[in-house]
Amino acid sequence: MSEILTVKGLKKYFPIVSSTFSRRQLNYIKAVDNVSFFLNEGEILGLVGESGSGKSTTAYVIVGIYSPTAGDILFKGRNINVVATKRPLEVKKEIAIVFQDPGTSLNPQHNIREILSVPLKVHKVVSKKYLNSKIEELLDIVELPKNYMYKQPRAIGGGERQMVAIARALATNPSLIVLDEPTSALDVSVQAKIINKLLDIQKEFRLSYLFITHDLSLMRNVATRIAIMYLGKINELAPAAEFFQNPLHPYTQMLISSVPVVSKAEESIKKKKIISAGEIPSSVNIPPGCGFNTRCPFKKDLCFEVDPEMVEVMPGHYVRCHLYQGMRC
Amino acid sequence: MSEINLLQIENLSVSYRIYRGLLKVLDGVSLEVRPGEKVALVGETGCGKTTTVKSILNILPRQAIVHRGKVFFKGKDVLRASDSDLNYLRRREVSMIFQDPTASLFPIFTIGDQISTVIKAALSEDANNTQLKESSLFETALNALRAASLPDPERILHSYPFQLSGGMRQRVCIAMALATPRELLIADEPTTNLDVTIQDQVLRLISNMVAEKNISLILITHSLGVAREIANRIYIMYAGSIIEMSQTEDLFENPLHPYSRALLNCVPKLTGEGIGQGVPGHLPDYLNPPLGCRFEPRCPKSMPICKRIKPSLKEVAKGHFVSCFLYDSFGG
Repeated sequence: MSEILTVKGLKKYFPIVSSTFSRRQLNYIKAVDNVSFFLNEGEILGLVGESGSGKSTTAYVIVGIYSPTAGDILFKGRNINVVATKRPLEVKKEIAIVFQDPGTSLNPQHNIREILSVPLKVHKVVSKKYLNSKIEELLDIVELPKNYMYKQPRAIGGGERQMVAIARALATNPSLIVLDEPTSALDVSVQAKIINKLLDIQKEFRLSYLFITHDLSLMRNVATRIAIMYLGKINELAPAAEFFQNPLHPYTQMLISSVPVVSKAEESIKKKKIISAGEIPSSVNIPPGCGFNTRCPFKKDLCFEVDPEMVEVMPGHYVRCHLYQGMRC
Repeated sequence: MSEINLLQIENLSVSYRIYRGLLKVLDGVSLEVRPGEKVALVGETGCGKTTTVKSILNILPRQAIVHRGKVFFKGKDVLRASDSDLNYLRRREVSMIFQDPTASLFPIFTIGDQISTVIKAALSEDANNTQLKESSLFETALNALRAASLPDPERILHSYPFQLSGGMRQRVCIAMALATPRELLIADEPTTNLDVTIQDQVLRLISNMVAEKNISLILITHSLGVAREIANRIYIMYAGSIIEMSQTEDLFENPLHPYSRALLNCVPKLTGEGIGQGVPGHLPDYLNPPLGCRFEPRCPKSMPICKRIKPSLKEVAKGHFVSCFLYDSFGG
């Protein structure tokens, strides 16, 4: 299996300026701070984190909404660490994104046909003659009736709107889709439909997904591998099954034990109970040392001085914590 | 039966008047809460959960019309109560936590101002409390914040809502709701906007405070997991009707209604057995709801009778009520 996306030492700092007109930088928000991971072809990587962890910023840098402060983004071996406007068209075509809120990511003034025809025209996917049949085909993939073409986004339900957003992402035949919390605004019964559809599409077109979410139990059922982000850094990365059987980082353990569950079988997975405490600190004043030291039940003096490094403790299982520094495999 | 119920909602039907007609939202909702009980009301967006609890405080919006039904709080009919009785109810007996703590806190007053307003309102009617001392007010507010395990309560008392994080704001709302003695706490999706670790903390806080003060709780949520974590008893609501009610354990071990089953099946599980297929179709149009069972158009086990007659809530096993014709032959 080859890597479709490799992210190396990615950083995105947002400067805080004293006023709109002055360029004097007071400080930085370190939204993404030295993040590295890779995504194999045909794989679903779950990027999980709480709000403010930098997971969406990571996604936005990858699709080119922001330019990275430092670091490399290799897409099929090609470095694309610039904003989308500076990327070649054929690379942009290959990377698509589905946003969280379909209510705001679809132009309310356009009908669905117009929304879906934008990427088709920009990337010259089909000639004008076949535009309608291509749009019908896209609607068919997401199981929406053809007559939706002339509806406005507000006239259809939230789940259906998200399906339109997915159809738009598929319009250019991409090989990588970044899904930024695609179901967090939806009810579970609608979420189930969308997730199943996304999984079908992924298998059918052999796509790779970078799935951004805060929902761990969803990732258990969707992702091949899971990465946990906290304060702009990845704390743990492991294959999905291993991740839940053997969570190592205290933050991961805290997250898993906080998930509300619906059966006794699930409770047994939560048995390593670390009582959740504290809140994620502001990413302006990240504490020195390990970012999690304000909430960690196992903190030592070392954690306040040195930021731990990512180590591979088992094949494919990476963790960034002083507890496991000696366990390199 | 009704003597021991703190709250009893009987066959409540509520519609909203809009330009195109009447949205027949609630259709015969019955619900009861006993003293000291923790009850959850679970349902998806737009099923009428919030409308149901708003009727308890009689704070339904002006377009709402109550067709039928009664809401009894300690034997008093809330929907027909006088203004002074309602005032007493809202100030002394029932309090509510709303979904969005940012919207329920006033942005230009400090937390201290807002909590003391609540405390003043609640205590003003006490004869021996006519002259509330500023210092004791401050002390009560401080204690309320401490009880909600907020760090550094003195500082929070002097801060504005925007200076606090989402989780802290929700804790402030909880502190405010329980600053003075109450008998019933209504929590309307209190953790929907919060992260999972913060949600865990807030749920634990609500649960502990309710148990400590021995008051009753109605928790509204769309998450079955959250309901399971907190409630003794769960009501499942679909399209304006209660479709199933049972003790928490019973419900998760043996869900009966096809909707409850489908819903439970859709919830992603930590055990990773895949996600169910979801429920086909969508909520009925409230302008023109189905005559019979409101779930019939989406139901995989629909029968001819479901189209014509609305099933009533029947006890099919001890303490397990379901409104579905599939279980008509059970119990009585």
